[in-house]
Amino acid sequence: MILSNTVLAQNVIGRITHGLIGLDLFIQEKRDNEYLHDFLSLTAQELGLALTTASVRRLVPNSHRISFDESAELTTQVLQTQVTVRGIANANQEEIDLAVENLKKAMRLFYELYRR
Amino acid sequence: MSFDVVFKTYDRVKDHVKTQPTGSAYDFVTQRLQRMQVLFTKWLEVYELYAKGYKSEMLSWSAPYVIWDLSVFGNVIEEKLPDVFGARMPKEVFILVEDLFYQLGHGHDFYVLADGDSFAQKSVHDEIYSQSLKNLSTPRPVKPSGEIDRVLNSIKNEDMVVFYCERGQYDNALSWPLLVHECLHWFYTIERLHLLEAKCPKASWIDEVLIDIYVTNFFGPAYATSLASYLYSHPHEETITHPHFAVRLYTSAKYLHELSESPKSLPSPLDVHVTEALQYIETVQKQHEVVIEGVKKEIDEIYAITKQPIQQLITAKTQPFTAFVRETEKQRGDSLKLPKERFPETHVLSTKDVLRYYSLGIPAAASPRVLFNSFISKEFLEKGVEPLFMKESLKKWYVREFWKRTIKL
Repeated sequence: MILSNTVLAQNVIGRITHGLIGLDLFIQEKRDNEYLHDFLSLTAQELGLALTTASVRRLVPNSHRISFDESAELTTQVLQTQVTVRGIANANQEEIDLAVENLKKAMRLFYELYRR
Repeated sequence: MSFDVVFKTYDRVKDHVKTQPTGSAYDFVTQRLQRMQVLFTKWLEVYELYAKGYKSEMLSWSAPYVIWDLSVFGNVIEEKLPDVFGARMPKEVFILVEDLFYQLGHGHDFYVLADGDSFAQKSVHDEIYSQSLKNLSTPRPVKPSGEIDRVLNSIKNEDMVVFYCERGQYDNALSWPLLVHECLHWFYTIERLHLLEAKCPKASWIDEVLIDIYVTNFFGPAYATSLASYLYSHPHEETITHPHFAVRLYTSAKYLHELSESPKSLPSPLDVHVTEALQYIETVQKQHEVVIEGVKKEIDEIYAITKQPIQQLITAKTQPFTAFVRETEKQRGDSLKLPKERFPETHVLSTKDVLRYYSLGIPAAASPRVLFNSFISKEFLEKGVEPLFMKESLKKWYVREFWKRTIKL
């Protein structure tokens, strides 16, 4: 059942946040962590639901105004970041920096939608 | 960047929870709203423990994003408060739901009604654990994680189900029976409806269809007309787990076809009204012919297989609608023969009485099933009913039932 409240969107944002926490800790401690695993559990379908269903409209008013391009870009960035995180042990600094930037961008988009 | 701002925010939200209005003319409603206050406070406690866990991590540049996320956690609770405590759905709708649970012999102190984006149901624990925190590991270090489980377990033990009513429908009384469908979701297994799935063709939404067959047989044509009027204004698309509303309407309308084909099954004026209801439903269905055509064969098969077993399941607990209205007519006749001093608390009202009371503007203390099925004629399906009449009628019936049970004691 598609949830008709804000909780679904909150959960998706929560897992992106865990991606950021995981990368922050990885950069400091140089080791894999549970937060990164939480982020990896996020699917494109869940992202799509959070961006397009009624649920997110309550949490993120006016999110129906998100353009197809914005939505597709966000999903692509998150999925690309997941590829980097999966092989993080062998990732170089440039790839990790890009992963961090991608997730920050994703969060900024949600934040922007919230204020839009 | 300090997490203190999050804790301060949560303290304010806690105050907001405490100051929510819980008072109601009905003690049972007040008690449940108070239980919801406790659950919301514990919900917030879980988030607070998450915040403590994140705070203890050595976060650097990610801290502002975590703080923002935690603030959104607080917003989610804030947003739910008016939906639950300030719901516009009249408290008398609880009486409609109470009657269902009473008839089916289930406990009934486990739920509240709230405003929502659609008719739906979810328990508080499910919302927190299965949705909000789904796939979010408890924050390190381990110590607060144990605390998180403790609070979550206590929420599970005192859990409440929230039946959401679509927020715009609070004054559309003819839509209220849609809640009966949501209630049945909670008793799907207990009512042994799940056992029928194996006999039916496979469909991801089989539970929805079986519940609709059950509810129509129990509640009567008013449920089908609720579906029809709702579909009329909300031409839904299907989802993975929910068939298109037109499919659900087609399922329920099959029952009305059977009723209209056997005129003696219903007393007057229901026998005529059911034909009018069917005409209304068919008008709505015409707009969705293509959708219905795609699953018609499947639904016909499911209906044929499960109709009898479902009626037996209902009979094991209470009376199916047709038996109930016939019995009501008999009781009405008997009650009119009673000495006047036992009138009116023993007077049983039929649909004919309800319509007469309605025309006089006097609330009718009729059973919810009789009350709602009094308004399935063309006239009322087109112009609706006065929500105040329905609200006051449910109240009057509740008071009468209360006195009847007290006298018996």
